[in-house]
Amino acid sequence: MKAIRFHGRKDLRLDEIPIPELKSDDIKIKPAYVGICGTDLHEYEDGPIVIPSTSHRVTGEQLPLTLGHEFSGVVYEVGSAVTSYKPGDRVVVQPVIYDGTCGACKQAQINCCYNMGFIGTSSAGGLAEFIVVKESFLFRLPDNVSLDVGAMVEPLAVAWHSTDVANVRPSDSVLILGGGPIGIAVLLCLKAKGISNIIVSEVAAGRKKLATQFGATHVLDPTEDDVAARCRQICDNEGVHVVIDAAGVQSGLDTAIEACRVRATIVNIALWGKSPTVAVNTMIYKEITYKGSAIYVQGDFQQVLDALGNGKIANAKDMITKKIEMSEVDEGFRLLVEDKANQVKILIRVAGGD
Amino acid sequence: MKALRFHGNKDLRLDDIPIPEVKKGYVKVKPAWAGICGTDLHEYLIGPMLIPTTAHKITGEKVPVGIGHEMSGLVEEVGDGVEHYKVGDRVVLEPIIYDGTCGACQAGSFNSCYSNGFIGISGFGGAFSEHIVVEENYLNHLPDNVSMRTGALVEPLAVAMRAIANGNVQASDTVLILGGGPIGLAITLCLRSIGVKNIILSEMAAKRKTLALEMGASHVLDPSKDDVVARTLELCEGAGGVDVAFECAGVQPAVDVAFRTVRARGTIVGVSVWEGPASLDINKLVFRERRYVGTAAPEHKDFEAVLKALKEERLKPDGLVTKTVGIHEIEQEGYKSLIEDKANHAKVLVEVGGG
Repeated sequence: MKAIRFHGRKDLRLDEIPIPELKSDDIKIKPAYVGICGTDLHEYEDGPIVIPSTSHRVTGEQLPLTLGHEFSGVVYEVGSAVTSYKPGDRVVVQPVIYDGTCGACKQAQINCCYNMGFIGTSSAGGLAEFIVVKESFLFRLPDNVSLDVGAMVEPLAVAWHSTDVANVRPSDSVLILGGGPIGIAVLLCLKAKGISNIIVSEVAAGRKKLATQFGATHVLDPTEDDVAARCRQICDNEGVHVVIDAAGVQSGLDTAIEACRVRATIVNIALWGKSPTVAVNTMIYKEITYKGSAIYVQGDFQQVLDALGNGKIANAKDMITKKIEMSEVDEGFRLLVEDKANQVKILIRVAGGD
Repeated sequence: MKALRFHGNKDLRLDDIPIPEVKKGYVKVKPAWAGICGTDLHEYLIGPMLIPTTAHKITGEKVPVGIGHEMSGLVEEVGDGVEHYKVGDRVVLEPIIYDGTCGACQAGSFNSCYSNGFIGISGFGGAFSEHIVVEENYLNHLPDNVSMRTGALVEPLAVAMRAIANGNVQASDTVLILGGGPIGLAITLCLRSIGVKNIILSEMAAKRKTLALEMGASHVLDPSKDDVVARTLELCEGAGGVDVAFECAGVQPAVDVAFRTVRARGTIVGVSVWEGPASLDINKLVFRERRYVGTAAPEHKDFEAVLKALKEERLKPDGLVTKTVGIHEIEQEGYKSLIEDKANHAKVLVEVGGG
């Protein structure tokens, strides 16, 4: 079968590899659409970083490795012991692999597993004609949600979880730093939860427009506006209750600390290239809580699927700015690196469908 | 009356000034004992920073100002309309000044008032004086079974109680304290008072390490000799880290250790005030969903928690005091010891003399 495999930095190849074997408790899926994630880009540009060069602690796999951890698909075949899925079922895959035995797993904090892996970075992913997974990794896609939107459930779950970590209340004002795929996903999730005062800070014109389209009450541009001052102005001269950082840059964090009110919460989703310097005394005097948000936890996928199904997460399809074929994968990566301002989510059509 | 006042950087003077008037609603207190705080030292060495050089928004005062905010004393006179105090009452000062009207105050966060001040920093007198006259809401009653000397420790203990509350510490938790100065030691004591047993404290100075054990730390580590991260994680036996780490040192290596030793979903409490910005490894907050929470000055409920613990004898903080000095030697004996012989000291108290 065909598969896009990561061989090394800037080295993706469309390889011909054996179709994986189906054991009795496995499910064989035909991936439909696969999203490209910031992590994939990072591996492409600077990797291998998380993709293992030697046998992975949990999965035993190593490069070259089939990419793709944000994907939807259709069940093709099920093992003899599988009863809960049948061929034709439309599904999404939750890619987290956890060991179940480390200190975090023992506290049911699987998203903090010390030996965490991902389908698509620690074991073969969805950028292939077939993938075989266990039942526990699957969720059903509602009938009224298309397969391309299904490929966005994973990043939407990352965003959803961050809003739980932030503990946002309906009357809160929220500042989202960064209107990229995660920032926009956070906006959609906040709207789904009934939050109405949402300020987005973003520089790229296309992304600012999308933020407005998706219902941000204010869209600010840090190259033009004093974002912190505007946030305070907009929010009773006090500042926002919550900041969600999907940008991960020094100036953003500086702004967050000044934009938020006393006892506010800043939630960081973004991964940082280098540690920021922080005005820690301001965090002390304002008793700010600064929390990290790691991927998602049990239940988040289902909540996102439900919200897509009942329309609370609306217009997720509009986040898809381009669809490409497997043969064009290098172009997809290139666009996300060089034409970032005009792209949000690029999907690779594997089997496609819907 | 004699009053030690801050006139500028390294410029403290024992001035002779008029005794303030006891207006309606005000109480005149004779300070008994008063502590020197890290903030006082900071102002002396590199200030004025918090001490106002232009009229403070609430007090209207500026340099020179009275110094000393960790105070116990005896009520000597009460103005008209004072409801809760009478002559002879033994009291403790609750020094935060707030306007009650700004957004923070309206949300109940008086300690983060936008015009925030402290008695003994921003005006309204200071504890290193023969008398201090304040409105009654800046006072608390000292329980009968608590000495005046111990009363001067209430304010720093309230700082500790607040840090513990912000960290949401449970009695069964394992805690790491970075820095065994007066605040780190106060946190140790307050943790013991609420039943916490597993307290790891990291400190270099010999005397402070000894004090930490006396205050009830279960393990004392020395960052100049031990790999604090490795040892702490070992002591947590597979839990992956401590439940809460208190950053009481205000230096980069301390916050780095805190970020690496807290378990998944654990808390780092920022207590210390820094002289510059910190470099924070945010990815460490992300991958283990840790949180960092800042702690500002103590509020009324923190003072209440301390006074209750002292009254019930769950808290016995006298071991924190390593030296006492008289009002005429505050700078030469008090400040000097804390600056030049820091390693051998925790809390220095001034015996002002009242009560």
